[in-house]
Amino acid sequence: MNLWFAGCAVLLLGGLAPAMFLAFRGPDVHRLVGLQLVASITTIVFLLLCQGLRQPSYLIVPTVLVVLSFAGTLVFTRLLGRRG
Amino acid sequence: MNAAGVAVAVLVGGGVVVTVLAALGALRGRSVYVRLHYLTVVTSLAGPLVGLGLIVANGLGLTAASVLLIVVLQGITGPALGAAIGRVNAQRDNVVDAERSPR
Repeated sequence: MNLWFAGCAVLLLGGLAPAMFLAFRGPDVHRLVGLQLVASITTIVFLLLCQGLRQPSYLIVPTVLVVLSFAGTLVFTRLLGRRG
Repeated sequence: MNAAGVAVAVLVGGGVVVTVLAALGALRGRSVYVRLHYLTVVTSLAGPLVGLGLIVANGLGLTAASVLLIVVLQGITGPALGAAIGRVNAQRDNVVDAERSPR
């Protein structure tokens, strides 16, 4: 295991697990924080994985994840927003 | 390990530590508005730290440009999403009026 994979392991256990816990509990609008936290942390995990695997071509995955998580979370905020 | 390797380890390690602390802090947050602040810490501080470490590790080139793009996109979209999530929560809590809020 090298530095990159060690960082991935720490992020998965110490970062992604609490974020998923936040996304699983509470009212629907409160879970959005956990949802976006999961997306952000997963992006960083992918960055480290790409470096650890020495495959820079895999960087397309976190690139797409950032864009799609932004759009997806905005869709959720729109759908969960209270209609007057 | 040379100076560049030490710099990479410090930057990436710092980014990982900041992310873990932010996630744990968000878990302890008493309200959703407090938890929103920890989201921005991840996108505006931890992401750039890790990205900078990767840029130092790979040197200038297409890989560094890709990492820079990802980090910049995340840094821009993170606060915007925090504001959107805060607004929808404020609407639910009747802090702001849903009819008057800008679309």
